[in-house]
Amino acid sequence: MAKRTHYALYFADDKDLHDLLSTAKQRLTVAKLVELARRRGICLSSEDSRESLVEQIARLPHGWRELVALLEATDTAERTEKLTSCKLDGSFSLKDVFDAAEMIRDERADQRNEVYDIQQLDKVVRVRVKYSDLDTSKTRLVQRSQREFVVELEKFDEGFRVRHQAQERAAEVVEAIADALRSTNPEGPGPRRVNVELAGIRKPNQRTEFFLKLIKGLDGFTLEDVKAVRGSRFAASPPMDENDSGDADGDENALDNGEEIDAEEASFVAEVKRIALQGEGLLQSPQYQHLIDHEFFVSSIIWTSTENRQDGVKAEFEAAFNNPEEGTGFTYAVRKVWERATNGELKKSKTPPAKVREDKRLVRILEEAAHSAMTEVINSNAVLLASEGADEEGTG
Amino acid sequence: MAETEIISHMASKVSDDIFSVFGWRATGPINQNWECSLEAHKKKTHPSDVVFWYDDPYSTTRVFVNTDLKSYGATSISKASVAGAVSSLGQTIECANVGPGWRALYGSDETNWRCDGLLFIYNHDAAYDGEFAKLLAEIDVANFRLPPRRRMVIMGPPEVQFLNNVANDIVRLRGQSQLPDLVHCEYWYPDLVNVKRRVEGASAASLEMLTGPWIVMRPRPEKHNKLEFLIWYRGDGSTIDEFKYLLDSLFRYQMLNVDTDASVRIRVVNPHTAAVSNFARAKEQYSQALFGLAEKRLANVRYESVSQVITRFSEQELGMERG
Repeated sequence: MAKRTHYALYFADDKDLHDLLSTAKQRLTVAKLVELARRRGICLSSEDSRESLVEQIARLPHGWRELVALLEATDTAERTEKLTSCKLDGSFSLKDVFDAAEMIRDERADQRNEVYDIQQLDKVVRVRVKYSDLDTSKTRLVQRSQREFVVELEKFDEGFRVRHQAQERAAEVVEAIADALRSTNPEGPGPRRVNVELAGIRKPNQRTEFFLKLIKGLDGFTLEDVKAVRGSRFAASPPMDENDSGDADGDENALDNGEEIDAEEASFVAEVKRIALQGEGLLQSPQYQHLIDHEFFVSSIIWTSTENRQDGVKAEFEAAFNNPEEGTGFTYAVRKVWERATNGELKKSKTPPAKVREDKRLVRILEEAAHSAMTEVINSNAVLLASEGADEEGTG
Repeated sequence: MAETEIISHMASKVSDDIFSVFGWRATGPINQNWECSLEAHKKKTHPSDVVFWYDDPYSTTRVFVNTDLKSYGATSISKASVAGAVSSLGQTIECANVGPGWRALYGSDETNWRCDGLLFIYNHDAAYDGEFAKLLAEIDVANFRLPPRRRMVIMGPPEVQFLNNVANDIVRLRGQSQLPDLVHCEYWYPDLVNVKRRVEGASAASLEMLTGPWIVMRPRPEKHNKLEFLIWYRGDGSTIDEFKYLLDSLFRYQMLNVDTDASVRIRVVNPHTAAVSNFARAKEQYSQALFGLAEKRLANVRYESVSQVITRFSEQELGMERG
């Protein structure tokens, strides 16, 4: 949905094409260049140098279709689209949301040079926004590209579930729609925005607990394996390098945990603020345990789960906080899906990305699990804080 | 009719009806085998059904087009038949550019030249409705092997039909006195950023142009010399973007220069039902993007659709013509 497309008002001349082809060395190998030309019926020699092929292709006349094909070939493989979501709780109708989206279109369209397509479907208001993006760090041909994002506002019992690509402009539009809903009924209770975030949770093990609950909490799915984990630490975590005096609180905490840490290990842990593990069976690995023991918490995770139904799918999911320490900027994605063949076996080939994007079922399950995990962690934190408070009162 | 006769007749039909309209000239003997000079080919001879030539617009090189004519019924157009023809033509091109056999019959001592290959696949029963591009994509790439600097072009049934329609349209416009004779028509090439055109005045349509998204002609009638361009457009016009992009190319190449009163006729050969309205909307949007500044010049860009014809060079018809 956020795929880059060229702006049709800017014709690409031979130099533009030459620059684009020359710079896309990794994507456009000799074999790929030869294939691009062959698609137009022109067979070139795969024994020609890359530079010679680039020159020959750049000189060919390119219409819109030829250019789009070329840009697609230079674009990186379809990236997994990361989404983010929030809830807008309140008693609003689909029509209220549709009207609010139209208000935002009227406010922003000219000012921000955005083109809106707003549709009201069964239980969903879908706002598709196209805009032109300028990135002067790129080759001229791809400096100005047309981008788009989609904000989906889906009606639930208690309000709306909002999902969109994890990008700033989409978040602005959601904020503007929420404001518009407030302004249409200034007397009534405005929409209450609920993000998946753990800003108030400062204990590493609780931060990790959120992800553990999430990956085990997908309704109708069983966790199969964890394939990648990113661990982060709070800035205030104990510096353990003996040469680093650190702050007093940190040193105290370091002493508090009462572990013996040799100098080499202490240095490693002190210097590393974020670390990534990749492999299989990560949660059972000693490396993972090592991180957890040293106050790292999980801030990003990729895992696979299998659906419990006989005809169910297997899927690879991803969830992360983009601002690990703050516990904000929650993004998620359904990365890959394997469907079952008629004999009940999982297919070897993945479901095409476009189909995965269109099917919102898995995304909904993931969102639901994230909200539940967040609520559970926040509630247990509240209980913990209350009991700590009671302890302090008791001892004081 | 024997195959050799069919090929001879096709060669003259294709030559007269299509490529001569695009400014190509046939040279040397048609339907001729010549001696192979590369041992690795393990062949005694290579075939040349017909050889055309034109001067490359961007260099001083004369391009010879060694053409392999295939006339297939719809059911004979298969991966295997095309792969075999492609592979054989690759060897022919390799040999033509290095050995004495081909150059004795067709080559030139007077000018720099190169020999490209053309596989021209004509569907004689007009019943082929497969996706030729897909078929081509599924052929093992080993069949397309070519030595460095050599190239060949494959024109399948859809491409042949497009070119046939354009050629017919040109002849018809000429018949209606809307176009001057070939000598007063120029297939038009812009100066590119990295290379300037060399040929001035009357020129032929290059292989790059004939396989590209559009064929551009600039008539240069003897009496009056109003700047005019005709563009035969290969796309179906099903999107607004493609026309906006085409319009911007006219400005980029100074075809709608502010100092000249040029007109452009965009002739869409195989139009989608929405092509006319898409073209009008593209003009509107393009003009809006330039705050109306180019409106007058854009008014001189007209959309026209081309009546299609289906020509059959079938064995039976060729036989009847002959008889």
